[in-house]
Amino acid sequence: MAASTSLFIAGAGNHYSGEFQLLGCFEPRLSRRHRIQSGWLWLNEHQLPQYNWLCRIPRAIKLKLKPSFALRKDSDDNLLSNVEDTDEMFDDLFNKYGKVVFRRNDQKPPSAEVDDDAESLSFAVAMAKVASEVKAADIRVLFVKPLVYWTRFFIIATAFSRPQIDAIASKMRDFAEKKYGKVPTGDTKPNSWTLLDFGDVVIHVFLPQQRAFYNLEEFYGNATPIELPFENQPPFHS
Amino acid sequence: MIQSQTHLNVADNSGARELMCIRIIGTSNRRYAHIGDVIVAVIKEAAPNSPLERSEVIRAVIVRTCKELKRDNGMIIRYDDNAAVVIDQEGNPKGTRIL
Repeated sequence: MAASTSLFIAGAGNHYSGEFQLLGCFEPRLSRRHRIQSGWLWLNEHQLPQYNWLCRIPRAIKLKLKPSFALRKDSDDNLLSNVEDTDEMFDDLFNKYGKVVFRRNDQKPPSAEVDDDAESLSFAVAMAKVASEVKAADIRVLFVKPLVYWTRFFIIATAFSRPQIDAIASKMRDFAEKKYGKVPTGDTKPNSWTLLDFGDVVIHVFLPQQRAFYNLEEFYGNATPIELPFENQPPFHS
Repeated sequence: MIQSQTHLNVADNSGARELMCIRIIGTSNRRYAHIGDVIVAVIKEAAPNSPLERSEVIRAVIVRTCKELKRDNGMIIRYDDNAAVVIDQEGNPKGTRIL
């Protein structure tokens, strides 16, 4: 009913402009209906200038149509070809800026990096020594910096019971806090695979079955092992 | 923003391929789970000859979400899919490699 009255008004011409104010309360419903018929109303707009405000909302929606990129296979559109990096673009960049196009600002010079590595190495060896004091078996220290970005050293150790895992973890925590002031994130409760994360050094303490199951040494087989100065216990006690 | 009935990919080699979230572990009546939350899920699809089977109820930890993760330093991380890693009751992963 509302739609039919609006059509009647739109087709009528100038005479009903006064009546629009009377019909003001119906406007929301009318305009919602108009959106469906906005196509042909819009065509008539130039003939009915005083109805602009009624048609304005539907017209704005019409104009929001997104341009669709329908291209033939071999069409050469410059807009879309920027998606791929061409060899010419790289050559231009090299000629302009030299071999290095972007350098991170927060990277330290190699000498400072080596110092940091040495510091982490001493920390890792100290932690391994703590583990051996609690009679952890088969302690390995791996230098994983070239393999992963989030740490420098791994320590992998085997413990034979959960209380032993708990003991290793708590001794390591206390030692690190006392001597180096580092607090680890990671597991707080002992688990069959307990992890301590000191940032540069990550320590894994396994039960024997878990160590064989997860087999981290194989996954990080490319890491250089670090020689430990103390005597390592053999992995299997009888 | 993972909730019940959400399908998730599996990001490890445990044998499951697709999970459907059933419940979010934590406080009761929690609506959504994000990266790092543990969920209870049922396996919707599993690889053949794997220790995990279809329609098995397991726990998983969410590792990737399409909803962005906001960090305190302003970094925002958003992935293209929702994924989880199957874990056991203790919290250890059931698979050996994370994909």
